[in-house]
Amino acid sequence: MISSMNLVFVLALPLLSGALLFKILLRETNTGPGLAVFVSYGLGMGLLAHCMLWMAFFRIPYDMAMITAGLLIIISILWICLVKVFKVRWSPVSGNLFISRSRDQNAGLMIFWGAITLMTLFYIWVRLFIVPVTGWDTLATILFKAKVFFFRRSLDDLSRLPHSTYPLQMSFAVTWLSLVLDRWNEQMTAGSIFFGYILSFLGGAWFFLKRMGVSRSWTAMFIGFVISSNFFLVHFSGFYGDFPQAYYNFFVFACLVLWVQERRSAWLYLAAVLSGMGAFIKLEGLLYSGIHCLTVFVMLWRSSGSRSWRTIAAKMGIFLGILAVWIVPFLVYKQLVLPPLPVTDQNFNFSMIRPEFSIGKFGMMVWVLWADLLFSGNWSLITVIFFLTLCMVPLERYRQRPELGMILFSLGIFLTMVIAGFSSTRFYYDVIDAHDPMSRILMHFFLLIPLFIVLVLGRMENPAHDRSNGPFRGGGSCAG
Amino acid sequence: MKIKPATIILTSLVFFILLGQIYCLARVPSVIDFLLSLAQMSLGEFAFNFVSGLTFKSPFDSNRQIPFFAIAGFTVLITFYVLLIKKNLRNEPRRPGVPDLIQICLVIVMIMTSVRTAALLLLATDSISSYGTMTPDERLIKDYQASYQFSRMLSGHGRVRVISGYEGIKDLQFRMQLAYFLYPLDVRGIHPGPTQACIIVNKENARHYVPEDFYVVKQWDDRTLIAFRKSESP
Repeated sequence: MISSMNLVFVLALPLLSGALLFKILLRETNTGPGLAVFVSYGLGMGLLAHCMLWMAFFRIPYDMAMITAGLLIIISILWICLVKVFKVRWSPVSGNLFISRSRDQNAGLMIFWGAITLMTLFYIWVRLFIVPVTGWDTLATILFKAKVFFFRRSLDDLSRLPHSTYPLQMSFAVTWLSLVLDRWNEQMTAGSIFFGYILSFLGGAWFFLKRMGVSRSWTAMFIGFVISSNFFLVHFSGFYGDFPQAYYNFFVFACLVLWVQERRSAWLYLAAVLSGMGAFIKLEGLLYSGIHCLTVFVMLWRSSGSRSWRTIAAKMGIFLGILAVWIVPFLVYKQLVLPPLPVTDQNFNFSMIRPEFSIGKFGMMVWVLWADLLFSGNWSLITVIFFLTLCMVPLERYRQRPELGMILFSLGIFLTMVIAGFSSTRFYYDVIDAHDPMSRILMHFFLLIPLFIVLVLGRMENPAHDRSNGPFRGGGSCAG
Repeated sequence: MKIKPATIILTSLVFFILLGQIYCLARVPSVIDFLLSLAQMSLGEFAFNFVSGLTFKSPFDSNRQIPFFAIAGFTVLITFYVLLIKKNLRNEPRRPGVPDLIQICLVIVMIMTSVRTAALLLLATDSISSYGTMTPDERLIKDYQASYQFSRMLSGHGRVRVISGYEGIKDLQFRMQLAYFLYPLDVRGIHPGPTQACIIVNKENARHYVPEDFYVVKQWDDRTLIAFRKSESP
């Protein structure tokens, strides 16, 4: 039996596979190891989950040796691709850890948010590793499924489990770690995986934003925005799928912003991979992949001044192709392997959506959304700052920065989808009866709001602002 | 002084938020009373409410919840906003950079997050003193005694029938927790096969509900027991 102390070494396997995938996709881009390490965690967890799904296709039983062998095969294939096919020299220590286009820094602000982040991480650690897991979805679906897979060593019972049509990435991760530990200990396994997601998000966001040219002060402010948001904090300290869904969505948009800024297709392809992996977290992930596709299409179409439709089709084709690699297997598995399931609340099916539109419901849904964003206490003052930023920033800045328009467009599509979706289906009553579903859905795209804020305020193009582009004018104290 | 369109939009926004707050607080006499009531809360309750979306239950009506952050934040924001308008009326020259109003919001976020972090540390310390010295088993007993106690009595594989006297959401929660903690014993009917054990909880005169061919293995009180099929051994 592998001791708990070896968990770190065990987690290194998916991390390594993720790092290799990252390196293959960004082989011609010098990102520095910082970004690679943090994003690799999400990529590695996605690879692990798909490895386990493919094992289910071939009816290979789940045990530590088989899954480890599967991961090692993936690592070997990626390594061969990297070294032999793409002729990239792998050197994890090459590159500058602090590659960044950002310039200023406000030490006081960074120390403040650093201290707040550390203390909050301590609280999250206590909640994840000391206080027993709670939450309906956590026990009833994610962990229960993982426990069944762990004891049965297969997906054979999936059709008889609650929410059997739901994606399985989170359950797979817990099953795998439990197999490694050779015992069921939900607190250690779920806690480790989730804490990994949180650290990966914080580190990844830091390096992504720095690469986008956001100043360090505003990058710290972004972390602060997320930490200060109560709903995120609640989800950081529980084992729900909503935060990992938000994690993948955020990284997809971070890649798309870099794609727009740097005009390197590698970021687009990494976004496609992350979007596909995000579709294996929650059912909504599939719809979000649709939003990502639409966003990419619009951005390609918008910049088609010098491009032909053929180029757009080629880029879209590659994006959709990569996406399909991650999305199609589970859809096929559900269609071919799972027996037909009765349509119930627990077995979501698109046929459950029955248009029941009315103006009253639409208006109520707009109000619920508005109230959640501004009056719920879930999101601190981030939404207020967002609206202020929208109002106070000159329009020219949006025209000069297409990535800002891209974020607003995606947010608009998302919010339209939420309002239209809830007000025209029977899910309307779920939202009216409890505000939690609306907050959880909003959380999936909410990180775009602080991203927008820091991209606008933290990356002033006007030289007159360069001296003072910290959150507080003059780059000095809070009193500014 | 020339009034800019942005100022009009912002003023409308602030008033809209203010109206929203009044809507949220419709039946609460005053914020002061509410703040005073916080002092009467125990640490656990305070911290739980503090963390879970900061929606305090109204001390005057338990069905209403108060978005504390929103109240605190917007009250300060509006105060600053009024001051800002006064300052602008004096025609002071504006400096380039991040707009004043956003800076004010950022300061508020920082202050509120600091206060909350202090509460989080208290809560973390409280959790460590409650759970820190316990084994994982003891922690689950503490939080899930009603359902987890049965997993200490039963082990192995097979189906378990549950007869529960709980109702509504409590019954659903109990069955969900039991299904999770007892597995690989099957409460949900995932695996085919005969029922080997029967759990009866919260039923008056529990013995009355024991199926034929079953015998009682352990009885906690008149309402709770475990019974096994006669061919099975504990």
